[in-house]
Amino acid sequence: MAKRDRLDVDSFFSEVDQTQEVYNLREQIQLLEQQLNQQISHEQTLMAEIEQLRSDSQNLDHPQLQSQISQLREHLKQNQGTIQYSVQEIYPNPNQPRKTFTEEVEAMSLSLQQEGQLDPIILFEDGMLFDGECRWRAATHLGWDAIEAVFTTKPADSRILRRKAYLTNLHRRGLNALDKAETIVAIACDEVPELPPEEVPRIINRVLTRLKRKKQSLGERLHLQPHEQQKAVLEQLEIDSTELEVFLILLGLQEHPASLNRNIFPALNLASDLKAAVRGQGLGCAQALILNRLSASDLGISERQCLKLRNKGIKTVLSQNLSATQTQQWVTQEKAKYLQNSSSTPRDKRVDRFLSSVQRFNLAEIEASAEQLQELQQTLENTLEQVKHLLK
Amino acid sequence: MPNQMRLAIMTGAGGVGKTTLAVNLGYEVARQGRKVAIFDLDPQGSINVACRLNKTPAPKATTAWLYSGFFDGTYTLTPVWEQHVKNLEVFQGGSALFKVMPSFSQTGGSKLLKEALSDYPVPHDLIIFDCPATLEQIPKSALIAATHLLVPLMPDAKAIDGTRVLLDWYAANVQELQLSPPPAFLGFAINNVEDGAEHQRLSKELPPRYEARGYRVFPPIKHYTAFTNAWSEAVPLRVHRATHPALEPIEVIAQAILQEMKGSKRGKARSARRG
Repeated sequence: MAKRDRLDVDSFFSEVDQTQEVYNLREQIQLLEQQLNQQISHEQTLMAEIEQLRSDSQNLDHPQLQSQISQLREHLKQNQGTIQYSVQEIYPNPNQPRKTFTEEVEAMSLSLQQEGQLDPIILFEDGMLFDGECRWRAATHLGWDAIEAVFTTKPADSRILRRKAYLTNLHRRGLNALDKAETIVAIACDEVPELPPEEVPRIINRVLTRLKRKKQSLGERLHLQPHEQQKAVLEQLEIDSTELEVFLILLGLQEHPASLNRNIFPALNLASDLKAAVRGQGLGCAQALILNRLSASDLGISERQCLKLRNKGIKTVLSQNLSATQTQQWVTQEKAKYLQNSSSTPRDKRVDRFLSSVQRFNLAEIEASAEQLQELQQTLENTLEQVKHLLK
Repeated sequence: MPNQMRLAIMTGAGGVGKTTLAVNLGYEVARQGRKVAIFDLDPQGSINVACRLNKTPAPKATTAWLYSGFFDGTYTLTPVWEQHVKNLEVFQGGSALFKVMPSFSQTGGSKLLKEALSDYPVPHDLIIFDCPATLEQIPKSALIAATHLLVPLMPDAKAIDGTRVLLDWYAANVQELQLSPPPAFLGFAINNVEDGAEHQRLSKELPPRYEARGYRVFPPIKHYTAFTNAWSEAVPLRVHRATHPALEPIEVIAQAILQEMKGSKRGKARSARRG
C-alpha cells in the first residue's frame, strides 16, 4: 500500500481544529452580543428615565435629571469616545419643552469662550439634539464650525427592546419559569395584534394535543432549526394562521413549544400566594407547581384553610430546601391527612358553594340597615333549624 | 456529594474496549480504598458478562429505571468481585434501556440522570458511566451528569474519525445545553494497539497532536489475549495475572482519576478547550 493512501493524521486534525474554531467563534459572538445588548439596554434605560424626568418636572435643572444626563454622557463617552461634529448638521429636538434661551445662551457663549466646552452634547444618530441645545446655540452664535458630541440611538420601540432583552442569554438564564412565561406571552402579544394574553398558552396546548391525537410530533430539535425549516414543518400540520404565527414566534425565541407547555406555562396557573412566594422568597417554580395542587375543593376545606396549608408548605420547602420530589412527598402526606379526616361520602357542590360564601362573608365591611340584618338573622336561623333536623 | 467524580467513558466508535476499561479502572480505584459504582448505560449490558451477573435483571433493577420517569431513589447496586476488593458495585444495564428510549423524546429526558443523582445522592467517591457506542440520548444524559470524560480509541481510521465526531458532538452539546462548567476531558486512552505497522505508526503520531490541542493522552494499552482470558474468567486483569504488563498503563489512568478526586474542586475542572 502506498504511504499517501493511508490516513493522514494531520489533515484529520485540521478538520477537528476547524469545527473547534467554529464553536469558539460562536461563543465569542454570543459574548459580544451580550455585552453589546447590555450596553444598549443600559443606554436605553437611562434615556427612558431622562425623558420621564423631563416630562414630569418643569424644573429642567432638577438635580436628579442632571445626574442622569451626566451618567448617560459618561457611558457614551466610555463606549465610543467623543467626536467633533459639524454645528451646521445639528438640529433642535422639536419636543424640547424649553423655548426661551436668550439669557442662558449669552452666559453659555461667555463660558465657551473662556473655558472651552466642558461636556460633549448628546445627539441622536441623525444629528437631532438630545441634550445640549444651549451649548449648541452658543456655539452657533460664536461661529464655531464643530462642537464636541457623543451619539446615542433613538429609543427603540418597546417591542423590539423586550424581544432583545429576552434574547440576551443573560436575561434568560436568570428568569424563573413564571417570569419567563409572562415575558414570552407578552412578546407573543406584541407581535400578534388582538391576541389576548391568556390565549397564548391555550393555543400551544390545543395544537400539541391535536398533534398527539394524530400521532404527529414537532421533533425535538425544531427550535434549533433555521426559520424556513420551522415554517416548512409547521405548514405540513393542520394549524390555522394565528396558531402558526404564535408557534413561529416561540420557535424564533429558540424555545420549544412542547417544553414551554410542560415546564413553563403551567406557572401561569399558580395561585397568587404561590406566585408571590416565587417572586419574593425564591421558591422554585417546580416546587410551587406541586404545592399548587393543594386546592380547597379537593381537600374539602375552606379557601382560607387551604391558604394556610400552602403557606405551611412554602415555609417547609424553603426552610428544608426540599427538592421537587421531596415536595411531592410532603404534599402527598398532607393530602392523606385531610382525606382521612373527611368521610368518603361525596360532597354536595351547592352546600360547598354556600359554605364558602358564608365563610367569605364579612359583616364588618358591610353597611346594612337594621331591617336587612334582621332578615338575615331570620334566614340563617331557619337554615340552622333545617340542618339540625337533618343531623338528627 | 460535593467531591464526587463522575466519569463518562465515551467513544464515537464501537468495540474499542470501553467496558474492559470501565471494569478494570473501577477495580483499580476501589483497590485504593475508594467507593466506586459503575453505571452500565449500555443496552448491550456487557458488564453482566464481564462480572458474571444475572443477564436478565428486572427492569426496575437496571439503569433504565433512572430514565423511567418514576425513579424513586432506589439504586439496585450489586457488589462485584467481593473476594478481591471491597466497595465496587455495579448498577446493571441491559435491554430494558431500549424500552425507555421514548421518554427521551420528551425534552428534559436527557437531564434525568443528573436529576436522579442530585435528588438522590449516592455516597460513592467515583461513578463510572459506561456508555453505549452511539452518540445518542443516553450518552447525552451522561454528558450532562458527568464531571469528566475518558475517551478510549483504537489506532485505526474508524476509531480516530469517531473521536472527531465525538469532539464535535461534545462542543455542540456543551453550547446548546449551556453546560457550565462543562465536563473536563480526563484524556484519551489508545487501546488495543497491535503490532502491525499502521497501528504502530498511528499510536506514535496521535498523542503529540492531541496534546498540542490541550488533551491528555495516556500511555497506549497493547492488545493482549490476557484481556480476553480475564473476561472469560470474569475477573479483573490484575486478578487474572498480577504482574501483567498492561496493568501499568491502566494504573496510570487510575492514578489520574485519584489525582482528580484529590486535587480538583468541582467546578475548577480544566476545560479541554483551547482559549
